[in-house]
Amino acid sequence: MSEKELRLHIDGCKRGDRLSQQWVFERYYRLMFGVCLRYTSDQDRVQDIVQEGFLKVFTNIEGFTSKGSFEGWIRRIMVNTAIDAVRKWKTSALESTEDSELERLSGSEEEEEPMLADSFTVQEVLLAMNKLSPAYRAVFNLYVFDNYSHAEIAEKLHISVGASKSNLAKAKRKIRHLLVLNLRQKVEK
Amino acid sequence: MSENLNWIDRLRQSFESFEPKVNGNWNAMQKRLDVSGYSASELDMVSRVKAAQRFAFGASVVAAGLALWMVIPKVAEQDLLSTELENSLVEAKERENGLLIEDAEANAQNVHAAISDEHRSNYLSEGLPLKLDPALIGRSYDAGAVQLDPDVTARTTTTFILNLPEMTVHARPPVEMKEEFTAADAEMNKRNEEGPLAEGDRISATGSLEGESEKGAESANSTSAKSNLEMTAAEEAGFNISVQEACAGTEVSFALNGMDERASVLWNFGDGGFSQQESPSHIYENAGTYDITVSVRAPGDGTIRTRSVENMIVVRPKPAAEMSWEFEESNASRVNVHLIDETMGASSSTWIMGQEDISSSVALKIPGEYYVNLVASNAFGCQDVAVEKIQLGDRKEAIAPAMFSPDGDGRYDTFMPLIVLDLQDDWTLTVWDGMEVVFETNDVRGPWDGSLQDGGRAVSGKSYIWKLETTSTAGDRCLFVDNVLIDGE
Repeated sequence: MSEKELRLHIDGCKRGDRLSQQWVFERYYRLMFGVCLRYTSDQDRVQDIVQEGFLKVFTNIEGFTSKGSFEGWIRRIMVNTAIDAVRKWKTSALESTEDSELERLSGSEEEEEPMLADSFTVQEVLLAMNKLSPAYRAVFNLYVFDNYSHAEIAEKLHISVGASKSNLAKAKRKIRHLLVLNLRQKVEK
Repeated sequence: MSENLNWIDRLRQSFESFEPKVNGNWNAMQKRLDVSGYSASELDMVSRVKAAQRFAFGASVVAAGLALWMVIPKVAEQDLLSTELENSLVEAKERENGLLIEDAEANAQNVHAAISDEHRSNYLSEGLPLKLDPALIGRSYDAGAVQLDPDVTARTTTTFILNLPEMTVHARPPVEMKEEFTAADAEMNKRNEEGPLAEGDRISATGSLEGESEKGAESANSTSAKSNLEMTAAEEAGFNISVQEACAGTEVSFALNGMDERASVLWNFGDGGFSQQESPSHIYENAGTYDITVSVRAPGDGTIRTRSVENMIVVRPKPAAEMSWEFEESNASRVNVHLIDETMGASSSTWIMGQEDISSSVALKIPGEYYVNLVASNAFGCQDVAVEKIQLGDRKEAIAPAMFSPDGDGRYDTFMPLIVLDLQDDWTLTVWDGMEVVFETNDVRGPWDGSLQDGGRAVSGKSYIWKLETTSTAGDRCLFVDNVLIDGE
C-alpha cells in the first residue's frame, strides 16, 4: 500500500465514496479485529465492536487530519469503542480490582521463575489475558499495546492514577506468571 | 538475563502486525452506512422524529379535507421539527468528533478559539482583574495539577521568553486608532452604538463602576480615547522567542521582555491554559504544536492588543519511564536486586540511587529503604523518571525469632514472622538452604515446623535464610530477610 494510495482513499472516504470506504474497511479490518480481540475474548462481540468502530471511523473521517498516522487514528477509535462496549456489557466490570482465582494462582511458585527466553505466540498471550479480570485486562491493554499514559487510562476508566499503576503492575506480573506456567507445561510435555 | 529485560517489548512486537484470519462483512457495514452514518442513538432519534413527522403529516392530510386552515400550523410545525433534528444531529456529531477523535491539537484550538472571544469581551467589559470562569476553560487549570512523582529531580525546565519591543503610550487620532482595533473592539463598538445593552454588559449600562472599567468603556467608544498602545515594527513582525521546543510534562517558563510594569497581560498557552502573570510557567501535558497568544493592555487603557503567533511552541512527547525489579540471591546482610527497564520508546536510560548512577544489578544492605530512580530519555531529549521504593527489613522489623526448636516439645516448635498478621496483602515466606528453597508458605496457619520440601527435617544447629516478600496494593514491594537458627538439644 503506498502512502499516495492511502491518501487517495482517505479523501474518497471524506467524500463518502463507497469504494474508498470498502478499501479502508478491508485494508484495516483484520488488524483492528486483532486490536479489539485483546479487549474481549468473545469473537461475536469483537465483530460488533469492529463494525461499530468502522462506523465511527467513516462518520468522523472529516476529523482526521493528515498530520497523524491514519492507522493510529483508527486504532484509537477502536480502542475507545472496545472500552465503551466492555463497560456496557459488564457494568462495573472495569472497576473491580480483585480476581481471586488469579490471586491464588500467582500467590504460589513466585520464586525461581525461569526467564521468558522462549518466544510466545499471540494465542498464548491472548489466553493468558483471558484469565485477567476485565479491569486488569483493560489497563494492561491500554498501557502496553495502545500507548495510553496512566493519566489517560485513569480518565478513561474512571479510576485513580495510582490504581492504574498498581493494576498494571499486577496485570504484568500475572501475565508473566501465566506465560511462565504455560512455558513449563510445554517443557514438561 | 538480558532476554528477560524486555519481555513486555517482545509481547508488543508479537502483536504488532497481528492480523487474525477473519473477514469483515462489508455488506453489513455498507447497510449501516447507507442509513447515513449516524450512530445508534441518533438513528433511534431519527426514526422517532420521522414517525412523529409522518404522524403530523398524516394528521394534516386528514384534516385538510375538513378544514384547510388546520393544515398550516401542522406543516409549519413539521418544518420546525426537521430543522431542530438537523441541528441536533449536527451537534451530536460535533460532540462525538470531539470525544472520539481526541485530536488534542484540534481540541486545544477549539477551546482556544472559544475562550479567547469570551475573554476578550470579559476583558473589555470588566477590566482587570480578569475573571476566568473555570467551567469555560475546562481543563486549563488541570495543567497545574499534572501528576508528578514526588521524587522527580531530573526534569529540565525550559524558559520561553518573549521580547516585547518598547511599549509606548501616546495619543493618536481617533480615525487611525480605529484601524488598529481588533475584532473584539469592533464588536464592543457596535454594541455601544446599538444602545440598550444585554445583561452582562454592565459597564456602559451603569457607567458607574470603578474608574478602570469606565475608562475602558470610554476608549472603546473610540471618540474619547486618548491613549493607545502602539505596536512597533519589530512586534508586528512577530514575537522574539527564546525556545521553540519543550517536553510534554515539563514546566515551561514564559517571560516578556520590555513589558511596562503597569500593563496587564493575559497568556493563552494554546492548550486551554491561561495565565495573568507576567512571567508564568505552564506544563503542556500532551505533545503537539501550540499557538501561544499574548494579550497586553496598557495601564488605564481599555483597548487590548492581541498578537497570535502560529506554531510558537512544539511540545515533544516524553517517554513514560516504567521500571520493575526483582530480588535475586541474598544472604542475611545484603540482597542483590535486579532492576528492569520497561520504558517504551526510550533512547537511553540511567539508574540513579541517591546521587549516584548505578548499574541494573545492585547489592543493597539489610535493613534499609531505598529509592531507585530510572531516568529515561527519548530521541527528543525529553526525560521521564520512574521511582520505585525498595524496602528491606531484617528479623527485628519482621518480628521473627532468631531461633526455634522444631522438636515437638510444644515450645517454640514453629517459625513465622509475626508481621504477617499485620500484612494486608499477599505474602510469601520462603526458607533457603544455600540457593535452594526448602520450605514455602503463604498461609499464616502453616508456619515452618522444620520440615523440608524434600521430606527431610531441618538440621539442628544449622542456620537457614528466610525471606518474606510482600507487595502492597500501591505496588510497593517489601522484602524481609534474615537467618534463623535451628536450636539443637
